[in-house]
Amino acid sequence: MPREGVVLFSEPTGYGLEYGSCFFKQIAESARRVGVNVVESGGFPDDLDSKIDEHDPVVFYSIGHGTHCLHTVANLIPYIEVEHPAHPKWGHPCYENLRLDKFKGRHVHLLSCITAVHLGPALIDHGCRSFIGYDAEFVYGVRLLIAEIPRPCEEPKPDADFYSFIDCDAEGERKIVLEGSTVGEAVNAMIAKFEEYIKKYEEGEWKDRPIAPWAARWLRHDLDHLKAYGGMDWRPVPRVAPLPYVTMGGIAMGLLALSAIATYAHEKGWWKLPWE
Amino acid sequence: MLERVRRWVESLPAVERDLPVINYAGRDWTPNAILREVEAGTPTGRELQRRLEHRVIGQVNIRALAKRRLLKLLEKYPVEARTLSLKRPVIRPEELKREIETEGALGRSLIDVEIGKITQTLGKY
Repeated sequence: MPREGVVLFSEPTGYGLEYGSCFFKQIAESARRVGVNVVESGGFPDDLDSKIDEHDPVVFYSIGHGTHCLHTVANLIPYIEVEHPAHPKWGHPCYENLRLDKFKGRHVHLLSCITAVHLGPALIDHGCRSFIGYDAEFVYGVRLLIAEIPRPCEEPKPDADFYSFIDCDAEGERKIVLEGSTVGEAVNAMIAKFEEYIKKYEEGEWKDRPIAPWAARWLRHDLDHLKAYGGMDWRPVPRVAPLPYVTMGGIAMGLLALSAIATYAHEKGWWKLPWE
Repeated sequence: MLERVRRWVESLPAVERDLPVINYAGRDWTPNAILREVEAGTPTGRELQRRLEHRVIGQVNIRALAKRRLLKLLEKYPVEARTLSLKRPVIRPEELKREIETEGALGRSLIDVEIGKITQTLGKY
């Protein structure tokens, strides 16, 4: 039984994966501040395996290149796979079942292409409790040919956007990990985030940016192919009170206790007010 | 009535004003071209306006119209897309063009999105 409230983020770099890992790190940092147990990995299979075995996380959020039956991690190494013949649309047969049972009882979110076609359903069949992914190629960045390639986590520019797409995907785990949302609520938040950016590009403050027509279309494409399977009503990470409230609550309790002690001591006559 | 067409064109992002939304009399009409025709007060302008009011795209395959819009957009704004696919992590404009023309998996999805854009653009009238 995975440990509620423990989350594992796979954060490889190279092959463009740093664009997602950068967002994962930001969520991890915020999660620690609200007391969530976050485990981070560079995304190599041995490290992921040992962290899953050691920490037994309830959430597995991973970025990597994919196909309809395969999710790869660092250095394009296959990590989760379901045996499947070549797909007429997506090609690439998969020859073995790899780690499908490792995600029993967990929430798996793959920021990856096409994995919701066969891999996601196979994970659910093998006991994974919920899955979020995409059943087509996930576009994470667009740029006009004249534009420079942005840095990871760099805000969208007029002629390039390598930010909004991943921000929409990351919204799901922000909700689950930072706010204790259900999987269904997280998916709805992702949809709302996609719509927010699309609106910005179609009729909002970014509508006249040269990248706007393409960014809006590719965002809509990603949104159209967002898929979620399994239990939508469960809450993988129980709600955690935000740290300021915990601190304020602690101070209030302390003051109450002090005043109770002072009153008791006063009644006993152990101390007096100056005018008594 | 001319005002309404003007307001409609002005409500669209600049780039959308030059993408076809109606096919009539054997040719595609963009919002800007429709406005010019309505301003000129020609019978074609009146017919285009009538079609706008009734959201009539015309006797044309809407997928074909969507394709032409995408190809026009790609010509004007050559774009590169990055994906998390093992098959093609980078999609260059020439590959995207092929995808749209042959209705590959990605091309089909973009055409579906574009059909939505046509409906949305006409819906703003």
